[in-house]
Amino acid sequence: MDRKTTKKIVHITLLILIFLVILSGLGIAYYPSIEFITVGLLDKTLSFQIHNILFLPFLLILLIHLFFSWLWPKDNILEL
Amino acid sequence: MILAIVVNLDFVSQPTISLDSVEINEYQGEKLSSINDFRENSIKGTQKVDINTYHLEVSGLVVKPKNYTYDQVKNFSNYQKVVKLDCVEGWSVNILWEGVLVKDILNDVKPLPQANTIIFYAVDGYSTSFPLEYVQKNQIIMAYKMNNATIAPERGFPFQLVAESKWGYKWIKWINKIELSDDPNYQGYWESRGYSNTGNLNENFLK
Repeated sequence: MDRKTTKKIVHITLLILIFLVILSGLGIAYYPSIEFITVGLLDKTLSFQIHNILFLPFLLILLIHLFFSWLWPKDNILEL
Repeated sequence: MILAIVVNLDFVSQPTISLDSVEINEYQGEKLSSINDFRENSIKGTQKVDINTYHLEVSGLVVKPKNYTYDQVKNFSNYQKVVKLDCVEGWSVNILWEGVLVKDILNDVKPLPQANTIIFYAVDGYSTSFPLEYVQKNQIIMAYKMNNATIAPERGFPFQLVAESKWGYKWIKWINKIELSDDPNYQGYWESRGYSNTGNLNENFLK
């Protein structure tokens, strides 16, 4: 897997994790609204579970993302 | 998109709650939180209880089931202490609570020997339970005042349980019924949705 693909995978994973962490956070703090919007699929308990489970992977991917940005700056990728 | 909907549905600023008297912000040198520091997270919003028709029902496995009026409950010996409420959502408040001891009410109705669980019910259908010995061995208050002001409807008027050393979801508001039971596995509102039945602060609240 080349650098570009690796960075892209990390980017997409991070985006998905950010979305899920924010959504589950809202599912905790504003559970009646989120439960209504998700037709009862995302209740407060599930939000807590998702939030807790995703926190460490989110942190890890964020650090990898930052590390890659530092290791392989954008200009270097364009040169490849 | 979702954020925009949530903003419209729920992100309104919390209004200031008016009280029957000025709340205190310090007690015996200890700094207190404000009544407005609570976050509204009840299951059906604020409940307006008509105190003229209100009754606290105490029933189940007791020798003398009773219905108390608001004033009758307040006539039990009064106690006050500062207790911190920790919510599972991550916020906490340090409040001076004033109320009556649950065990004084129990002594009045006399639990039957087989009773081992106490279940509290609220006006909005919320409920939660505790081992009977938790309220008998500790000084658990059913509060009608916070920071020296009568509990506001938004905060659980007429009575809120001060379930010290328990997560906030055990601090039931708008209490209108107490039942003594022999079912230690009774699950209240959040307990039946995956929260721990014990609700101990030193344990994870998720099962």
